[in-house]
Amino acid sequence: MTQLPNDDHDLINFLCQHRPDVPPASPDLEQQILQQVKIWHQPPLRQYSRPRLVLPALAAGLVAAIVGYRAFIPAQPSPAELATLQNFIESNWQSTVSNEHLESDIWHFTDLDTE
Amino acid sequence: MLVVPAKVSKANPLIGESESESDSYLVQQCLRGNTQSYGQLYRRHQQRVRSILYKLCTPASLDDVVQDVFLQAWKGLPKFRQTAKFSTWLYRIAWNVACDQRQADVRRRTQLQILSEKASTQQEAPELMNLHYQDLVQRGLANLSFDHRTILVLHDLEEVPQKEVAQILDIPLGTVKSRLFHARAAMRQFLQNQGVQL
Repeated sequence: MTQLPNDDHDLINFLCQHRPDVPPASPDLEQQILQQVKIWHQPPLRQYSRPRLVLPALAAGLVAAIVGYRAFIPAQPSPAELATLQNFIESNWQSTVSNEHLESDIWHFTDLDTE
Repeated sequence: MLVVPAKVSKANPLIGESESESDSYLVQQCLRGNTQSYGQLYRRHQQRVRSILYKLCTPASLDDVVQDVFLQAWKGLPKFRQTAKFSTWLYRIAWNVACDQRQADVRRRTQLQILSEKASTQQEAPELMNLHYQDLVQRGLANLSFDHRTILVLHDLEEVPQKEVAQILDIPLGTVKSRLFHARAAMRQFLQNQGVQL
């Protein structure tokens, strides 16, 4: 394997001696950077990890489910509505068990028997 | 002879252990929202970041690019692994920004602009020998491929150790050595073509 020479002192010295001068920073550059950082003012720790997001997401889901369930179930009927409903059922029930109907039903059955 | 003081100075490329710890402490403070600590980190590293960016991509507005690097670093601090060295991580961001800048620059520049820039630099170069050599180094860097330029700037000009260069660029140490060898050879060749005898 070829060994690479580690140093090239003459070249390195030349480069270091004549390295290009870096233009100086503008005096307010530091202030500008810090100003930007303050404007964000989200110190880096504001970033949430996934496990931290799971609990709030679960809680939000639970609340949404409860609210949704309450919204879709029918409201409790008022006493007046209950009374109306009861009257309706009773009147209908009475008509179904009245003698006229019973007799007609029996008549039909007997007709069938005689056939 | 240059005597390196026992206490690590800002100019020293090899950042000492105490300074690394201090960086780590400042990063912790930043993560708590302390922007003043970020100011300290900026003052500590901005010169090196500036220098790297200037040699890698020679941006039209160096301040804007430096600002971009430090804003990206602030945003990225939560992802910064505390086990890593802050400066290494910051230089990697600088390198990424330089890559983007260079690509944008290539798209933007026309051949005519490049020629006019060369003409203007050639005119002012002979004024002083030092300026001439600085100009040669700058042009030599621009003449290299981006990979070779990056290696040469980080290692030979900014004196970042090879291991750290490997971490910044996320390449094996062997690749760093190999690229460095070829980059130096190309630079030497360029300088010789320009009449510089080393």
